[in-house]
Amino acid sequence: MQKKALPTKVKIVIIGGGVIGTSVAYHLAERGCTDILLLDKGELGHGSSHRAAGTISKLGLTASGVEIMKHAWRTYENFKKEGDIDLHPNPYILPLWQNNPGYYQQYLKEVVNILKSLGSTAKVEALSAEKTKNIVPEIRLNDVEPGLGNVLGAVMDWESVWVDPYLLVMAYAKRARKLGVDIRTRIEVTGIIVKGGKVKGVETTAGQVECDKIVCSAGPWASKIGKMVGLEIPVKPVRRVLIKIQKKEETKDKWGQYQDEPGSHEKRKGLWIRHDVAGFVGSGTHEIEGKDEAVDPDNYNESYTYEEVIDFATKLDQQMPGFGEFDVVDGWAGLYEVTHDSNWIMDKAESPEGFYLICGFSGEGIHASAAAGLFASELILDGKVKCVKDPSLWAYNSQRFPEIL
Amino acid sequence: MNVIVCVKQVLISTESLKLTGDGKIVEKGMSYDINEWDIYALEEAILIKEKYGGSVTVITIGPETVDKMLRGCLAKGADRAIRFWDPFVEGSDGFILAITLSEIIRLFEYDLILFGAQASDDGCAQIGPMVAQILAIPHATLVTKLELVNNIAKVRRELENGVDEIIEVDLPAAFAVQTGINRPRYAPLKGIMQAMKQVIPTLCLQDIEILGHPSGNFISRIQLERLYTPEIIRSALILDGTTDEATDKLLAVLSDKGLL
Repeated sequence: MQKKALPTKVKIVIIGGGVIGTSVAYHLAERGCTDILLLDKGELGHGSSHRAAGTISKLGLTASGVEIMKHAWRTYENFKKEGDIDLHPNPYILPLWQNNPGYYQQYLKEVVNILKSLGSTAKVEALSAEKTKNIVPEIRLNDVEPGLGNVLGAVMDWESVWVDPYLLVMAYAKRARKLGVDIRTRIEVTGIIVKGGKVKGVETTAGQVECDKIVCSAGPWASKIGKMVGLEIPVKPVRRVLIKIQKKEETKDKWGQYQDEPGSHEKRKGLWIRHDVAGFVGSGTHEIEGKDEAVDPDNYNESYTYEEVIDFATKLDQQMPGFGEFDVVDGWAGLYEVTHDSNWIMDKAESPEGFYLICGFSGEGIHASAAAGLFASELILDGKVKCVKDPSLWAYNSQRFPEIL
Repeated sequence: MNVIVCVKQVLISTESLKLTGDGKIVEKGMSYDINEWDIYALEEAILIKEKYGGSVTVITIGPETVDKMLRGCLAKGADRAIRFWDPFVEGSDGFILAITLSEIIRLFEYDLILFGAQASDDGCAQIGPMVAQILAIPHATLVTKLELVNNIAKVRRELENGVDEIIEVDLPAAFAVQTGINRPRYAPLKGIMQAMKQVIPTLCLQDIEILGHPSGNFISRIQLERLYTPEIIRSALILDGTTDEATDKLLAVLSDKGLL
């Protein structure tokens, strides 16, 4: 039996078999649209998704975001019920410092009210400095870093979870396949056929396939795919590192993830750390999106450096001096696919007709995947989005980059 | 007890290796790390040092990119790390590498030389025994237990078909250790901080007495002819039906192929 040939014609080709591409395939198939070919140049989830930290929360910071994340959350809970993924509790704490920039301070102070007004049911709490110390006893409250001032308190998202990102990709892919989606790996899209301003097919390393619609869910490779149809998709691949550490003795903490907002200072890099299976993962080089250098997604350092370990340890010692000694178990780097404003792009291109952009998740791909899949399926099958009342309220569309697109 | 550990950096990839048209490995986007077997050899050396005192010296052959691996060894407890690099070793066969390693090892005092039983990339499993031969010291491979008593090593070797043997070997000796001989530690943060400050001496051809080696001409005797990805040809035929029907079908297939 030779390798099954590619179909010569399908309705939709999805480019990219990460957490977004597989979710789009699953959501389309669930609506009965199964004449789909999903192509990945490597293995499913192996481009970037499986390297993610995997944090998921109920939070969305606009009415649309809150609405769409309710659907996403239901999807993740169903997958858990069906035994495909685990949702590991990960109470998520964001410290608030005296000298954070105004917008951030304002947002953190009012986040609970904002979320409530948006209809969020997320269990989010504003904590005093004293309560913050009670939940994170390791924390330093005074003079954390020059210029930052004291910790005023924190915002706690009690229901945040983390998921094994690879299992989530597999959960989508399994369902999509079962419903009839043709998923092929190790096949690279090398060109896109456009005639009369319309998408007509793809050229691949395994031959040509005709199609009416193409979904670009190639994550960090999205801008490379965009160039094939003359689009400058403003998605920048940036390298992010995760270091896995272990303490001599396991601790039971009230906090799951601690995330310091790096944007609180120009050029300042932030700390994040979360509990993981037998230890913690984190890094001390977390930059605000859009500031770091773009890398070639096909050629970047996928490992970690000892300098990055020391950066992590230094930040940890500054902010959580009580954390104690640890061993370094492993580490790796992956890619964020960031946009200028760190918001997602979920839209159809003005031209060519039939080209959809579902990318630019700026480090929220795992969290957003089910929302993105639903949004994309409605955009493709219905021509408009029904899952949120007014999608134009939320900056998902590509028109916000007119100078580029 | 002075222990030398020879380690090798290997390519780590979650996917199959990609090759260029002329059969070279595409290293773009690949990661490197210490060979898995060598992690156990290093741990064994550190355990011996912790029990009997002495020192652990790690030696490798490779360009500057192997320094991270060496710092990892220092962070775990090795006392010093030596890197050898000279363009002539690039692409050399195991024998040339064994001669080179032997000449580096001669620069140091040692009671024990430890190797990983094999490397995960080429799987040759020959450097350890060859170095022992060149240095004219006894050796044992596939070592799963190592005890030292009065300059004698009591060594358990893992043989085929679930059989072990225990041998006694006079020191100095070389051993190629099997995975599972111990439980390797992780590098403590403090160790990494110290390792980052250490200087890793780099040796080259001028630093070792290799040119006049009795092995004669210093050229690899094994030349790589071709590196390629085998074509995947999967052929399966499911013979369904009752046992009798399936048997008849099988006989027909074998007969067709002229095998009966």
